[in-house]
Amino acid sequence: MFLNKTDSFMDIKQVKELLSGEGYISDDAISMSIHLSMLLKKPLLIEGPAGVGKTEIAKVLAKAMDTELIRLQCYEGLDANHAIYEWNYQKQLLFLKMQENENLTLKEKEASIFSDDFLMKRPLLKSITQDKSPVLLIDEIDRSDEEFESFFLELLSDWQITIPEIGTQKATSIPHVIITGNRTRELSEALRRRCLYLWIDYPEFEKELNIVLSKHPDINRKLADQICLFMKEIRQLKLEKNPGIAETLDWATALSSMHIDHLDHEIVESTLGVILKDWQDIRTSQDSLAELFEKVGVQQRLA
Amino acid sequence: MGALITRKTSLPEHIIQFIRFLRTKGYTVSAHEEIEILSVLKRGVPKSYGHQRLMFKSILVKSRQQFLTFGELYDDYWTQLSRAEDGKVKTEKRETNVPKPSRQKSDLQALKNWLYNRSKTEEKEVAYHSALEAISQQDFSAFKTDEHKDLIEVIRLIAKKITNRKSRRNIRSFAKREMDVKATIREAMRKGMEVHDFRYKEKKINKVNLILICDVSKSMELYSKFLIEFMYGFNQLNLNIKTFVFSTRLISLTSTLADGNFDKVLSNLSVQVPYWSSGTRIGESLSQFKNNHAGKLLNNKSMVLVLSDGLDTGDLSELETTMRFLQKKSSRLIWMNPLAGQPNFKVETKAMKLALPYIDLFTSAHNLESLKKVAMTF
Repeated sequence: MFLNKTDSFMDIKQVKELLSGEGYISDDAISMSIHLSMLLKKPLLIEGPAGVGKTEIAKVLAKAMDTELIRLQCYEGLDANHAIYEWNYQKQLLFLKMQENENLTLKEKEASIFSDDFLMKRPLLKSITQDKSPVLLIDEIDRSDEEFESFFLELLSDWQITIPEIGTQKATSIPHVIITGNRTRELSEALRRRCLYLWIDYPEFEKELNIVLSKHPDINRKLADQICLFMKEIRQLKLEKNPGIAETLDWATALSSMHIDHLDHEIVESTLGVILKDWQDIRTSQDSLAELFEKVGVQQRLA
Repeated sequence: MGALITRKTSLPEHIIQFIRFLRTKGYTVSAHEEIEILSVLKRGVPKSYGHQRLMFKSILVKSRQQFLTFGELYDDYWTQLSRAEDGKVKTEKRETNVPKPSRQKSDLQALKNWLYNRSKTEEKEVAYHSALEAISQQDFSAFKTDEHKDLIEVIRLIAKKITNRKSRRNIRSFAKREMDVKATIREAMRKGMEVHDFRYKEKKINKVNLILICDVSKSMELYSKFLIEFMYGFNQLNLNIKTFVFSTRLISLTSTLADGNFDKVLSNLSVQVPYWSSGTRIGESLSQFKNNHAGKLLNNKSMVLVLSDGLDTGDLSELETTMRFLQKKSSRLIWMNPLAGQPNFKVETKAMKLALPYIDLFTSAHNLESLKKVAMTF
């Protein structure tokens, strides 16, 4: 009942508890950034390797605040038509055809077809025209073109969008903006200046263990320990794509659903594909498996 | 000058001083952030030192690098502050102990010889090397100033090929080739459903970021003249280009080569590249590029062009990983090897063998003909 109030984010302890209530284990840095983002009404730019829970923050936040999550997935070639708004041309044409015999002036015709009924709101416009502040997730912004960032800057500075035909749309509610990126390209200084910044790295052993235990309360404790230790060690190898928390959870799900209570050589070798998604990485890790087994204390299966 | 840290009496003064301190460390903090910090503190100062630090960090940090080093700076600032006496200025001793950067005079003889054509050894080697080649296909080791124009022409051709890559995005065109139905209807709607003009579209040209990494080690000495002309030529075109050279370590030359005066560029080069004509550490140099520059420069629009003979004297343990990374992070990885033009050339060096599987285009770059061929493959 108090979750929809920004005031409940006034304390980082409260933020931690709220996120934890939705199954997201955060740390002080994450909680402080969310707390300040709410307080200052500034977007939060989150960068970090894939699979460490950047996108999840926005999802969990929307749930915790009991508000809508509006997501804009960025890609190369994303433009204003797909991100902000577009007119429904087919509907406009049909409407004009229907009104052919009516004696309307050009101005009246124009006013009728350039109205809300014909406007297709895309995520950015939709996010500022809600009654209740939604969570706006701009996912993988580094995949979009640099030009797109410029569109986005107007929104972030003034919380308004200009539509030439009907004028400037001012925000009825300011969304809580979460922007994520994997650093495939450097974002502009202008965008960074307008955001709070948070870097999320691969978690420490304790944090990862807590995440596994909170997502899989029934998992064998020894198995959970081994999984997290193995993940910690495998990330030390110079892999092309280090496995993230998402992969840890996938592995934990797979192993616990097979009613396995500890790791052994055969299990690791046969399920390596769950955590590694690159053939080169699988080859590299296979070469180092013996060393990994020794560090993690994984035994050979007894006959 | 180090940051001046004194004990202040008011909170805003402390914040301003801390932000000044951060600015000396390369942070770009505006007054806006100062106001934000004050407005947060007005609502209540975080109780623990760790939370105070986190609060400042969340507001002031704008990049990963800053995120990872902020804590140290914050602690450093407060340590210095606690040592400072009331009203007295205390300067940072650590910074004053840092020796002033001196212009290193190192082995620049090769570059100077090239500049003034004084090198007897170079002439000998040039003569020997040129004899191997057909006259019409003179090797770049014998590169002469009068060939400058031809080289620039080929560089322009390569640049044109690189930059003419079409994007998936459409932009308005005045060439009247492909009609843009959507824009035409939209325009007609604005004018009372009367089509006055057709709108046309064309694919947008993707601007390619070119990253040029040239080997200027001893083994490449024969090609110094060509290398400088090559790098300079690219930098003079209106391209988005970043240039690096390496021998035992990597040095960025983008700003040096941007100067319009070639003579000035040459004199600056002798100062900027103290390791010219020394040993080769390809693995370590490329790894240095990966760690320090790749994050900012590489994306799906970047093309990496390495110009090296692949003769390495350093540690190659990192080379394979680095090459794999460069290939994955860039749109194209091209390796131009001046030795590859020799008739009996075989990939035999360890560095080249390690790098080869990750190279999208391996080609010779020993004369103008070979460069023209490179241009045609883009």
